[in-house]
Amino acid sequence: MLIGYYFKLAWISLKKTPLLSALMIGTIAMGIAATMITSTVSIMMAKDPLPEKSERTFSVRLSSWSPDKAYQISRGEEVIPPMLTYMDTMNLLEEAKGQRQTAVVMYKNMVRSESQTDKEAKMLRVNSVNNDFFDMFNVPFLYGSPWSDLEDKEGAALVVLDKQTNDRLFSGANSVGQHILIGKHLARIVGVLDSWSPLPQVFHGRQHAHSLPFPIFTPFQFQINNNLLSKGEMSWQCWAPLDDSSLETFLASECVWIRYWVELSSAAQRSDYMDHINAYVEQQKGSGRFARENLSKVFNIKESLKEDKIVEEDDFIAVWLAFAFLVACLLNCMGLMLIKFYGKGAEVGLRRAVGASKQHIAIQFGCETVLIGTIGGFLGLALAQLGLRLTADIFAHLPEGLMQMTLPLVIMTVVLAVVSSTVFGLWPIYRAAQIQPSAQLKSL
Amino acid sequence: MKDLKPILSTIWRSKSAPLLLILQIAVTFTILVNAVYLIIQKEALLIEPSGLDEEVIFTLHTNVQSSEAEEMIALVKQDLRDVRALPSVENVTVMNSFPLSDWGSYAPTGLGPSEEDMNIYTGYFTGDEHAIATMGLELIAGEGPSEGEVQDSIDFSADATQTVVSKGFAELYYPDDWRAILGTTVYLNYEPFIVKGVVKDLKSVWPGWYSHANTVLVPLRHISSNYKMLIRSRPGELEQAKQQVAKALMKTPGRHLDKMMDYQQIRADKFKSETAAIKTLYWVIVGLVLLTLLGIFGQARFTVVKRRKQIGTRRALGASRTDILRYCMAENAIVTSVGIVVGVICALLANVQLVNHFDMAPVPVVYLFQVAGVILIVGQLAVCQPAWMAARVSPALATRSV
Repeated sequence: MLIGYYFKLAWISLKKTPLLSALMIGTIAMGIAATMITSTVSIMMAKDPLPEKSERTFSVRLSSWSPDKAYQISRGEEVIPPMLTYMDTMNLLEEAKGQRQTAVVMYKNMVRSESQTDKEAKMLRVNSVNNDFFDMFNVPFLYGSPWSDLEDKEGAALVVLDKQTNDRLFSGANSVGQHILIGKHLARIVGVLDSWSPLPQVFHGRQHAHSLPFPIFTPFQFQINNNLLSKGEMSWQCWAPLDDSSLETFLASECVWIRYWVELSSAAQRSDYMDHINAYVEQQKGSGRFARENLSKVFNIKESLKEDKIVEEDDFIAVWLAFAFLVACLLNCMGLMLIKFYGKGAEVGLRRAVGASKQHIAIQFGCETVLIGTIGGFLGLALAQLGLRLTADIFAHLPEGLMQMTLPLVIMTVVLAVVSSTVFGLWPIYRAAQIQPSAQLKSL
Repeated sequence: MKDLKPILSTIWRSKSAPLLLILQIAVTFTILVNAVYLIIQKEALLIEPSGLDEEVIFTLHTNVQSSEAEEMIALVKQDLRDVRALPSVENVTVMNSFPLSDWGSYAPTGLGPSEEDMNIYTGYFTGDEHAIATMGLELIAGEGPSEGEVQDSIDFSADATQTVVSKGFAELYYPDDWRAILGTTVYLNYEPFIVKGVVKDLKSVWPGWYSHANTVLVPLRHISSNYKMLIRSRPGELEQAKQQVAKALMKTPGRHLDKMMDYQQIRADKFKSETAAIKTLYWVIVGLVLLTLLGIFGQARFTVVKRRKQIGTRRALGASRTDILRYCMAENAIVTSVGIVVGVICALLANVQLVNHFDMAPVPVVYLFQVAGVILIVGQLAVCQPAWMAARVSPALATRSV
């Protein structure tokens, strides 16, 4: 096979000028590694946490702010609060117009098993959610199941533990039916999760987006019934002063503090759901609420990632920089190839003189470029893995295992190396093929 | 500069290799300028002082084991007394949140009670009569609250009628004479407050926020089932103080301590993504400089190999080694400079894109000069060895046929 012969020639040629070959391969590897490291980091930071239904799962936002002032103005446009009031949450939960709906709030409390003493209790963050939450976000259960609709409404003292907490408190045994203490409230365990680390975590907004999920889950109504709000830790905002600090006043106020998520049976129902939300706002306007222009919106998961700034702009700057870096590397490599092929003018002249066509020359050097690209690509892949180890140190605040290259990314790395180096090799190849046999032979 | 003409005509005759180097340098320059600028912007955020004596301060969250208002207040006051009595502790206060921590409050603020007057949000801190001394704030006008003026605030109910403000806040409303704010009434959350004092510097919880320097410190003893304490240790005794405080508080059964952090930890926590970004950018810069070095080195070296015969001829015709050395260096300097000029244009264009897409400030011209200088030096360094190689080409080479 002639191609095989050309690759052999290319290999010999690479070995002939080891320094130059090393420089070429090294620059390609560096560029590829940098690009792939930053791409991996930013893809992992911004990846869709719920790809199979991100188009039909929505964060609901209502235009319920002060009649006199916008919640926020960003780039000249009014921004509405990302959270809802308790009144609206309860009304929307009651109407239940989506396939699934849930409130999401965080609180903190002391948690211990019945057998542990007070001193062994740990301060844990708790996800306060409705039972639909688990199906909506595809939360995997190891034992048991979510609490029932009725228990959800009543706010029964029930709890779902994550795997680590179950391992810690019950040594990983099936603990369903046992009890734990949340503060002074005895709660029965109804379920234990399997390992679950949705990243980014979209449902709490930006603050907790890149941390691991909170370890335990209790019914939203349970939090309300027992006044378990952590006002010094959770997000809450008011536009009018509260008369007193009681829970009743807070619940009846226009303060926003609940994130509200809804899953529809299809993305096509979005406009129907919006009609419903708008109708709700109109109805509330009738009773004197929602004095602002109605800007209520729903954001699907990808839109929420952007809206809540979970996808950081810095990540894109890094990718942008890395691609520019790759271009610099390729330009460098292209210059080196030009020199290399130029240096082989005599050889080209000789081959042309004994009958090789321009195409033959082009294919020969093409093979050499592909070889360089391939070696550079694999070396780049190795460098990228090494780099990702280092990045894992740099990004030590993010959960472990986030910075891993998936198979498609690995394949993409090598393909990118070969394709880009070949594209950037075209011109040097073209130049080499243009060499006139006579001019070169004369000087020999 | 007698070399200038032959250099230019050489470049002109074989354009492709220098052209590529020019392009490469232009791209490198573009990235470098923007990366350096990003780093400097982020580092400015990292080192901005909070106004506190950070090296002697730590904070913690702890629980109050009661839900009755009177009892809660009594328990918190007892905790504060216990902590203050410790030998390594200089002072202690209870606050609603701490500068640079992960949670904070803000309040709409204005000089009048109406909505139109409430034109700005400011950072809202509460603290007791020890707050200013514990944080180590410099009171530059007026006075702080006395013990009797501090109200107890259970679960964010607020009753204060006076406040201390930061100088930034005062300058916001009285830009010509910030002292004029003393004794006047400002409105926070639509309620009137009399300004009793001004502190030199107290930053909000959110660095980079438009109102970061504008804060108020309201005399409230903020108490909830989980309250926050800020402790000032005696100089150099931060670690002892942490241990003593933990030990003293843990004497109460059922006590829980959370987030015991000194300011070094608070800062590290607050800026972790910025720190990660800065480190990444440093790697980008190192990679780029290395790449430029290698690129220029490789090209120069092979140009020299290619030109051995010409160099030999020049040497035979009387050129000294210094002449050859100077020629190589000058050639590189010219190519690099052209690359930088193209790079300046690209960098400015790229920066416009960055400004548009990522809300960044435009890059100051001084960075362009600095980065240009660095690239020129890197280029000259890279060309040293090949130039030296060229200078050592023997004149006898010209006499041989190949």
